[in-house]
Parts: sequence; structure tokens; C-alpha cells
Amino acid sequence: MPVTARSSLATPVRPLAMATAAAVALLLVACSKEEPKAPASGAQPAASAPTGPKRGGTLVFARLEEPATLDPFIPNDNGSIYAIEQICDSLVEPDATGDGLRPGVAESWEVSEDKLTYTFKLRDTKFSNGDPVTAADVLFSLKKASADSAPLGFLYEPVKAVEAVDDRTVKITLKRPYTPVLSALSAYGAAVVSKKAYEAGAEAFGQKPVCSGPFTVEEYARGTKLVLAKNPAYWEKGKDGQPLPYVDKVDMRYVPDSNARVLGLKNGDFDAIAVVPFNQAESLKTAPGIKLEEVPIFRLDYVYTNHRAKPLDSKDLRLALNYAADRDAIMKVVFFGYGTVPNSYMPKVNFHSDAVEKIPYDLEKAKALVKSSGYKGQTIKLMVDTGNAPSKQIATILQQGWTEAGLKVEIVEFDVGTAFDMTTKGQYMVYVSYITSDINDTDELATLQADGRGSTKSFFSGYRNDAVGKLLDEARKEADTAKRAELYAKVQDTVYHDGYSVPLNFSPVLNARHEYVEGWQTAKNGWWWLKDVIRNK
Amino acid sequence: MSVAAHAGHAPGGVQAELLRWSPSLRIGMALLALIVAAGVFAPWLTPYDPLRQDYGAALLPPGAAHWFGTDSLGRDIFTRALFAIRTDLVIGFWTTYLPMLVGVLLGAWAGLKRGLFDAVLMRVIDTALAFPFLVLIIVILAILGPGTQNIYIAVFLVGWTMYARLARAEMLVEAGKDYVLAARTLGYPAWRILLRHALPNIVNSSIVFSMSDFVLNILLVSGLSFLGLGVPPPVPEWGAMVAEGKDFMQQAWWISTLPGFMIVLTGVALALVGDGLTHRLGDRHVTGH
Repeated sequence: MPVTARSSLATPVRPLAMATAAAVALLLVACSKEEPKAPASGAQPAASAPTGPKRGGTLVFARLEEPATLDPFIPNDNGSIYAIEQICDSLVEPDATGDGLRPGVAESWEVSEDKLTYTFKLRDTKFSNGDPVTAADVLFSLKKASADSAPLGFLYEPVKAVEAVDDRTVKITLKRPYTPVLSALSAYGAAVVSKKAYEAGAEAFGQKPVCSGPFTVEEYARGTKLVLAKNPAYWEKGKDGQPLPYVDKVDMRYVPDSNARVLGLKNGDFDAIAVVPFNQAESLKTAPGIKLEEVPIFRLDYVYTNHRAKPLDSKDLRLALNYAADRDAIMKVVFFGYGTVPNSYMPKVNFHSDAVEKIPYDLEKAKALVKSSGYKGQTIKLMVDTGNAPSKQIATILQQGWTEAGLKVEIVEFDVGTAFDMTTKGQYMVYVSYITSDINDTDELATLQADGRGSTKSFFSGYRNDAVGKLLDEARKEADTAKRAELYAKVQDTVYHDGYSVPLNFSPVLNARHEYVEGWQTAKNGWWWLKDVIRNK
Repeated sequence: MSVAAHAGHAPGGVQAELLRWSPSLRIGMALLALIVAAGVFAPWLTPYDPLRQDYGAALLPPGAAHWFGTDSLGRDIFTRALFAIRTDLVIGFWTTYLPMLVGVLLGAWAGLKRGLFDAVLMRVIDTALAFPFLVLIIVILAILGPGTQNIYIAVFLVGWTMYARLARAEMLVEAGKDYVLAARTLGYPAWRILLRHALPNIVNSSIVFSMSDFVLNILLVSGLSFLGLGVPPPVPEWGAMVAEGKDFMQQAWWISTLPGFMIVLTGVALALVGDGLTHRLGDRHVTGH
């Protein structure tokens, strides 16, 4: 789900999407009987250490966002989600790149002939408090995950029942075939938590979750840091045959100021930093001993557009906004060339189609569309987050183009929390923000953003096209990958050319670290697999 | 009833008046005049448009074509800093002198009449002053929303209190003096005593104070814009320009430099004027007629 980034273009929303996931998921279904011996992740042992990877040490890692809570059934902000990914595992987990899936709390699963029953065999593993992970915990967790109040509850709507066959076997039955179900179960929102610990107090659980993931919480100081300690009970083994993670601790600092993050990395205060602002990429590329990595993630920077606010109810006018958006200029001066000008209303997940035609920058066409839309001179309020310099730059560039197209545009700034709140309540016109996907299947975001029947009203846009709703229903049921791709391509084409929003960039994320930090892997979902990180110093 | 007219007791007019100015007043006035002139004649001093973006010329360092470089959208920094004089000085002026006008009148009236009006007014002022100034402004802006118009409202709501206090205190002193008693005895209405007789004598401290207030208000507007609560983009404004440069500090130092310098320069000019006026006006007493 979406969300809001505190500073540079970095924080938004994350649904779960994955692209190749369907294919990978099918593959896993077919051959997931054997337990994977080596971690699927791409951690490479240090070349210089023939005796095996170095263990121990504290990784100091500075982030842009901070977690609001560590309770997996509440948040929709990346600050929380990326931290939860280090602490809690789901039945199925995204693989190292995030494109595919791998076994998590479930070591294997079987799918019935009619694709309506999934039987999961649980791994013989323990929670961080020492209790064994049982079917009862999974039942409890999935119930919380599918509650209406849960941020990803809509993903589990097709689930009819979850039953415990025995202590280590769980059977999930579906109301109808639901192809991306494994991807959905890999989301943070379906994390397996200790029933006993959660029932003892959700509030306390949100501070110190009891899960079966690689890390546990040692200290959580709001506004400053989150210190994670290695979970001794974690099941996965490293290259040396010993349990992961390699490092003893991760000191995750909350450093919202991007200059401070970059300087802190350069002067050695931090071992690694997340979200390097694009304008500082060059300076880090040339810094000795520092590695800058560009990772394509499931993210789209776009201008949220409220179709319920006049004059944006007119499709012509929304298209005019698109034709008058100088995306090449934005790519150049705001993103410094990082990313791709999008041809979709949602991030590039597994069923993205490159065939959908891009709306070009064409002021003449925009002027004509403004005329044909019957625009009456209303002021279009372009909302940006206070203090978010790149968003402000984007808004200034858009304002110039839109003004030339004949529109009256005013830039308004609100604190990010307020701005997002106004967006969720539909009290906005256009808003410069972004969205990210939490899973490797197009289904999450396509449903969230374009299905007007959902509770978010097409992700606060008020967009509704019943033909799109029908296509999405079909795509969810369809088992054939090629056919699903076709359906989603149709959805992409329709929604994008309905002027759903003003897409700006499929933007990657830039992370940086010292060279002695090895085995770093950023998933396309946006987070990092800290369990595989080796601090070779 | 201009103070200057009364001040001109001494013969010699403008020239003699200038001779009485302290060096700091002269330098301050000259600087201020220069800044105001630069703002007024901005369109003739530069070939560029402050709003026009030129993506081909983004982040250029200072050079022959762009004396102080360009920002990330390719706008000329020198041009924007000049045009920002209009934004900052105009906002600074109104956020200083509107509250001063209202504050002095209310405070003087309270000091002259005393009674319930005085008591209520002073309690209101105490309440307003109990909050840190900036915090109160930010709270008001959070309620009203950001924007130039709301800055005027927010600063006005808080800013008049200091002037009212000053004017009341001065008025309490003046009210006991013979010329006020004489005017009262003659049966002049209170408004006439206030405006014609007392005001010229109590306004000096407010004028002196207004100079430092002016500086603080420019800093306030810049600070609010830096925080994103002030003047909305793309209007050129010093604080907003400094904020725009913040993220580029390591590779384009020039974005924030000139606007930052302009804030300092304006502050110095106004401070010098304020200091000079303290000497020039502070020792003077004007008798009403």
C-alpha cells in the first residue's frame, strides 16, 4: 500500500506485486518438495575469505524512514514494512531479487487439481522466544491478515477457510481459483506471528514482535533508531552451514536528512545507507571504498489525481495534464536520468506490458484537450509534501507546462502526514507522490489502484471503469500465464489512457555502502536482506 | 503629523538633517536604498525571467552568462535573488507596519484611558506573549494553511502585541506630563490628545523597535519558506531559495549562497538604520500644539 515518504522521492506505497512471480510460483508449486539447502538469496561469500564468510559485528545502517510500528497487521508505510521484513517471515517469502518466491515458514506445499486447496507443510522451527511454530499460530496470523482493518486484507478476500490438518500442516481453501495466492501469502501483512505473544498484548507486540524471522528487536527508540539482534532460532543456514544472519546486530538509524546520510557514510559513521538522493549519486560513485548500487524496484512516482474533484472529472482534462507534463525534463533535472519514463498507471511488476503506447509531451494537443474538456478556469491545486525538494521541483516543472496549456495551477504544500491523510479522504486535486508494490504479482496494485469497487476507491482517485473491474476478476482466476499477461496488458492500456493519473517515472532506488559490507541484496520490493549481509571489517 | 516635520526645529533642512545622522545611520540608509532600488529596477538589471525554467542550463556554476550560477531548474540565481527583494521586503514591510499601526493605537489608548479596556487588552497580550513567537506563528499557519496571505494574518495576530505594550508603557509616562494635563483641562477629546499630542512622543521607541522587528520578520518569512510554510513556489523568495539549495550543498554551493547573503545584507542594513535611529530619535522630545 501506499504511503508517504518523508523526504526525497522515497517513500511510498507498497502493494505487493511481482511479476515473474506467477511463473515462479507455478514452478515452486511443481517442485517445492525438497527443502532448499542453500539460501536462495544471492549472497556471495567474500572472495578474499576462503575460510568462509566472516561472522559477527554490528552493521550500522541509516534509513530515510522510521518504522511507525512493528506489528505486521497495521502498517502501510515502508518505514515499518522494511523493518518487519527483517523480523517476521511469512509462509512463503520473496526470493533474493524479489522477482520470485521461495519457501518461508512453510517448507513445502501442494496444490489440488482444481487449484482451490493449498496444503502447506510447516518447517520445524521456533519463534524468537523459543516456542515452536505451530499450525495454530498460522491460523491466528492469517485471520489477523485477512481482517477488514488489515492493510492488505483485500489480498486474502478469495480465501474461504484456513484449517489445521495437524500441528504442522495447514490447509487453505479458496472460494474460486486465485492464481497470485502464493504471492499474496508472501506479503508482510501475512507474517506468521506467535499467537501467545500477540494475544498477551498487541501494543507490546508492536514494540517487540515475536516472530520466526532472522532478527529480533533489541531496542526500539522512536525517532532515533531500531536495534535488531540476531535471532538464534532462525532456520536458514549461511554458506558456512551455520545459521544466518552473519552479523550479530543491526543498528538501524533514522536519518531523514539526505545530506546527513551521505556525509555519515563518507566519514564512516554508517556502514550502509538507504535512499541516496539522485543528485548526490555522482559524488558517491567516485568516493573511494564506497559502492553505490542502483536497484530497479516495484515503484512508480506519479501524480495522484482525484477524479471526483472538478475539473478533473473530465477525461480530456486529465489527458491534457498528461500531454503537458514534460517528463523528459523531470527525468533530467529531478531524477538525473535514473529510471524510465512510464507507460503505465502502476509500477512495473510481473505482468507489465511494454506495448502500451506512451503519452508524449505535446503542448498543442494539451491545449486542444483543455478546450474540448470545457475547462472553466478553475484553479488546479497541486499538492506537494513540505520539505520534499524533489517533489517541489517536479511540481514547478508541471506547473510551467500546465500553465502553458491554459490551466491555472497553484502549488500547495502540506506536511506529508496531512497530505496523505487528505488524499485518503479524497480532499485533494492532484498530489505528487508514489506507490510501491509489496508482492511480485501485478494483482496487488492493479486491484488496489484500478478496481473502483474496492474500499480505497481506486487508491483515492475515485476512478471507476466497470470493464476494468471485469478484466481484473478474470485475471485473478486465470491460471494461464500468457492469458493473464494479456488481460493485465488490456487493463494497463485502458487505465493509463483513461488519464488515471500523471505517471512520472519508474524510479529505481539508490543504496550505498562501504566495500567491506558484502552480500548486500536489495529486493525489488524495496527492502534489503540484512540476514545475508557480511560485515568484513 | 510627521515626526520629521517636528524634528526639523533646527535650520538648514535636509542637509543639516543629514549631518546629524550617525555613520551607522548613513551606511544603513545607503544600503537599504540600494537594496530597494535593486528590487524596484530588477527587470532592467537582468536579462532573465525569474520564473522561466531552462533545463539545458541547470546547475551551471557562476560564470559570465550567469553571475551567480543557476539552480536545478536552470533559473538564474542572481535574477531570482533580485526579484526576491520584492517578495521579502514587501512582506517584511507589511508584517511589521500593519501590526505596529494597530498595536501603537491600541496600546496608547489603553494607556490613556486605563480601566477595563486596559485590563482586558493587557491580559490578551500576556496570553499571546506567553507562547514562543515562532511556535505560535507555526500553529496559526498549520491551522490556516501555508501561503503569503496567511503569513500576513498569522504575523499580524501575534505581532501587534509588542507594539501595544511599548506604546502603553510610554503613554503611562506621557499621561502624567503637563502638556497632556493641559490638553485635558482644555477639554480636548481623548482621541485628539492621543493623536495630536501624545502620539508623536510615544512613537519613537516603536519606530526604533520596528527596525529590528523588520529584520526578524524577513528572517521569519525566510524561515517559514525554508520549512515550506511560507511563500509557495515558484515565487522567488530568499528562504525558499536557500532551502532549494540545501540538497545540492555538496555539488552546487552557489544556489543557497547569494540568497543567504541577501538575507544577511538586508538584516545588516536594517540593523544599522535601527541603531542610528535610536540615537537620532531617542533623545528627542516633541511638544504638541
